[in-house]
Amino acid sequence: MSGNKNRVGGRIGFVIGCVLIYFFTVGIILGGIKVPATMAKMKVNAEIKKSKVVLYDGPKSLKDATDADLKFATEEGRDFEIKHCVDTKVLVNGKESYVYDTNVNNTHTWVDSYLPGQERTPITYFDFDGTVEITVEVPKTDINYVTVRPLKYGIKPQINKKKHTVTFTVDTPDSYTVEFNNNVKRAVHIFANEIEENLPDFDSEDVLYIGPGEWNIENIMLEDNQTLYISGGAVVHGIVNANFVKNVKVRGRGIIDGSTFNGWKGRMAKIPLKFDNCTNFSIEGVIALNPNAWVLQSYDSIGGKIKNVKIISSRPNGDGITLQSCNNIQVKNCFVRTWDDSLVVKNYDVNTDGITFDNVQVWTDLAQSMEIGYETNKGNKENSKISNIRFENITVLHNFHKPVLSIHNADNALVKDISYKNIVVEEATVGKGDGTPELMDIGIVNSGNWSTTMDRGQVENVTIDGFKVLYGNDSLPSKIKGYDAEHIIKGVHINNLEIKGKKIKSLEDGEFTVDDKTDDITIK
Amino acid sequence: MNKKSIVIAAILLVVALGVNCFVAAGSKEAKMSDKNLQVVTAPDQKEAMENEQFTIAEYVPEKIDGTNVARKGHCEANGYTDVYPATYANDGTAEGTSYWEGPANQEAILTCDLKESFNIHTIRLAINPAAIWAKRTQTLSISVSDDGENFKEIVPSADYKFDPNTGNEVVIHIDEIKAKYVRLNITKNSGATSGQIGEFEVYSNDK
Repeated sequence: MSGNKNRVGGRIGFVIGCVLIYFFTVGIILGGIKVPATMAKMKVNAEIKKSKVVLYDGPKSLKDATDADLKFATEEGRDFEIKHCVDTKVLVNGKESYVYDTNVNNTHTWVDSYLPGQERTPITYFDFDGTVEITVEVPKTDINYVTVRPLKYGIKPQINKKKHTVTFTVDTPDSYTVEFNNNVKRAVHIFANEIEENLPDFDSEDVLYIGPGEWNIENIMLEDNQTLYISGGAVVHGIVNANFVKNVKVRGRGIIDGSTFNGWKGRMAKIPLKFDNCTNFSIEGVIALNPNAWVLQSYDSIGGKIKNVKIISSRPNGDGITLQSCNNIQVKNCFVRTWDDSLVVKNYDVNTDGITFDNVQVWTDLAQSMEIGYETNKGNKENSKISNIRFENITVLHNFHKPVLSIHNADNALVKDISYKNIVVEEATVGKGDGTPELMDIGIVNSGNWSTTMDRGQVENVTIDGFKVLYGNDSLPSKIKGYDAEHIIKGVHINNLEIKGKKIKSLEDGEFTVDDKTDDITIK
Repeated sequence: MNKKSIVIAAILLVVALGVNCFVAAGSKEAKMSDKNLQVVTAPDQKEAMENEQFTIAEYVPEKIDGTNVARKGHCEANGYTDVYPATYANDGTAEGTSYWEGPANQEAILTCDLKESFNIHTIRLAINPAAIWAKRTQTLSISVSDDGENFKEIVPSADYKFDPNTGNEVVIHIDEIKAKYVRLNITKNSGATSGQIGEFEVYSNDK
């Protein structure tokens, strides 16, 4: 009897008690499993609460992109104007960031008519400090798989198939690209800037300020010591040039847009950012879209800083950053997606020396990602030389057409002391369209299209230290070829080459073709 | 079910509720403080607009008496750059790529043979009027000759400003003088490595 004093409900009570204990225990276990993730989420949430964000409304005058606006067409087939994107929404910490639809070219074949077919892709930009949560909503897309580039951040986005959203957090100002279902079409480019500091003195007569809104300013020519500030939220249809001036700057977050210009078709190039014969110029923070030809050019300039510039070109000859006969130029933290060579160094006049590309994201739809040449002495100067060129921390998101790394010495210059360090190629699908299959191509050539001089030159001391291909073609050959016994490639040293997980320790393993007009080619 | 079991069940209940409340609370979306959000707004616009800061007042060029007798003459120079020979200096247009640019980094000398002698009174020098041809200053002198060999300076070397806002032209009035050859000596150009002339015009009332 005494035992029954402590029992409640008899056998039924016992069963109910066991069931309750079972469910409570299961509840604890299931909840407990989520605790680490919850704690991590709380930590991130705390960071998000503290974060600072600057959003920029787009011009109210931009038209919404219709389905027809997004179709593949040449510039004769539809208008090329920059549009307000309405099929893709981007939220930053739950707040909507204005999305533009800009032209991109997903083809990989040169078109002699200068009229390749093009599509549009969404871009957005904002500034932030701390950690922000980004949600991309694509109501018309069934999301099965998402890639957020660059892959180095290891971003594992949360996909909500029902809501057609993908969500992830970022804590580093950089450019992020979201691709859906292993397809580059309608990839969303997100330019997440750091918050601007040390703004120029807008009351100064040397500062030209362009505020938010859509503006037709066909030519802006900068004069000595002027700063042009293009505010976030501004879309400027026009070009910004500087010629024979010193200490000029372009700053801001706004867009320089060339979509109102007809394609150049080999005649009238309207270069959005052209800085020729300048001393100490600086271009920082702005975005260049829809150029009618190439994008950022400097010729015969000494001392330049190009920082956090974002470029997307889609029309023929749309080279990204092309530096011609320049000295001491630094290119840093940029995003360059182009329909021709992305990062280019040439000699058109005097010798080139001291060019650094550092922490640049590249997406090359046509031609080469990092090109030296072909024109190495277009000015036909004596003792022409290109020297001290450095490519460091370059991430190639996609390279579809021609080599990722190329030196084409097509004149009689000496090309020497060229280094590549920490290069990551996320997707090397080289050779598409009318491209060529090489991953790297170093050569002394006589080009019917590009050579100026009758004589040939030399290439000396090229170092490649840390070059990793993450994904790409089954075969990724490379070649190193001189011209003749007097015009050779001397000293190419490759360390830490890794192709799709395989460490390359010999030229054979790396599928290199090296001819007998070379000397001292090593790989380890 | 004894009391001990009830106590265990109650503890488990509390823990389960606690854990799941913690998870539920922690899983909520974070909200950024509005004071940390700045939105840069856009002005009301229905279409792209001109920007006052970059609009240029209409420029009315000076009307010059007489006839440009250099138009039917022949221009020669001591050299040229790239694809810009002297013959472009009197072809009737300064637009596009129709201009002369002298040899880089040296004095640029452009001579116009008027084919016959004229009483000349005004020289107009022009470069491409497009805004992309930014302001520049050229330092130059003018001299004349009857035989093409012996030149007499009639305008001493001075700085002349070419400004796209004012047509990128310079008009120089001189005391009327008879000449068959007119020469420019350009020693400096702030906008290029040599002298540049899109149109070299010489005016006379003889025709």
